[in-house]
Amino acid sequence: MRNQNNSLIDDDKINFRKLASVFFLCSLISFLTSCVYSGSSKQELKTHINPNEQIDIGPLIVSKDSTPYEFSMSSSLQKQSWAFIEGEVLDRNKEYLYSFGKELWYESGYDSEGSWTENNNAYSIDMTFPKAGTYYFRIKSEANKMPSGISVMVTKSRGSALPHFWFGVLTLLIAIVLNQLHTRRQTSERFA
Amino acid sequence: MNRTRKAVIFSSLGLGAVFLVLTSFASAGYGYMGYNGYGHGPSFWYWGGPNIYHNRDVRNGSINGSNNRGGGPGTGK
Repeated sequence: MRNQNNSLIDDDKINFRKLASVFFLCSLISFLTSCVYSGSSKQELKTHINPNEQIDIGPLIVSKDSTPYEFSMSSSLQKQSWAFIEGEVLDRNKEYLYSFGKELWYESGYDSEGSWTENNNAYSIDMTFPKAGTYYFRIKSEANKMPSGISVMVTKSRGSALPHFWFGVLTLLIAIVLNQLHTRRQTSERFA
Repeated sequence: MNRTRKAVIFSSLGLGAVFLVLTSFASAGYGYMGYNGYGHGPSFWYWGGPNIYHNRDVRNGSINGSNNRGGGPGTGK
């Protein structure tokens, strides 16, 4: 009789651990999906430019509205140097749409632990072209010592990793909270 | 059907539906620069990219911009 009553009580209560496992599984699938979307599907442009000049690269033919791309830039910096490398996104008439840029640097020296080097010689940006069409990139650079070269690569992405990544974070947090609720309930029942 | 099973089924359906809706946003490049037009920056949820400039003439920290910059990290190690 007592066992039956316990079983009825158990049926009436939600097992938070089982529910947590659903959210945890969803979080895992979301993170994997996010990784798939962050991957590139096709390399569209790749070039190596002389940093002393302003250069237009392209055209980039975007065949479909709302297509995401990844723009990657890396430079061969000399020691003790910095370079600000900027990319402008231009439309088919080479009209300015927006630009992006970042300072890259290469530093080295000696201290009590010996020699050290630190550098940041690359960056990338994810961008979505809301309309299909033809686009160009204009690369400009300014530096105290010009890098020996700048490599630019534009690849078509499978999509945006953001929605599933953040959904994965949210569901993981919910799974953790549910698991904690289950543990607390077990502890309180043990001492009741 | 006990409450746990109901909760598992309903939450699975709900999460699956949200997942599918997010797939259409992901395919359209949600959150990246340009998704909301060129006048807006990338989403709050996007981090770590370079600076974005909407105007060619007023760009702090860029070539021909209004602020000086340079000198690398400055402090070194």
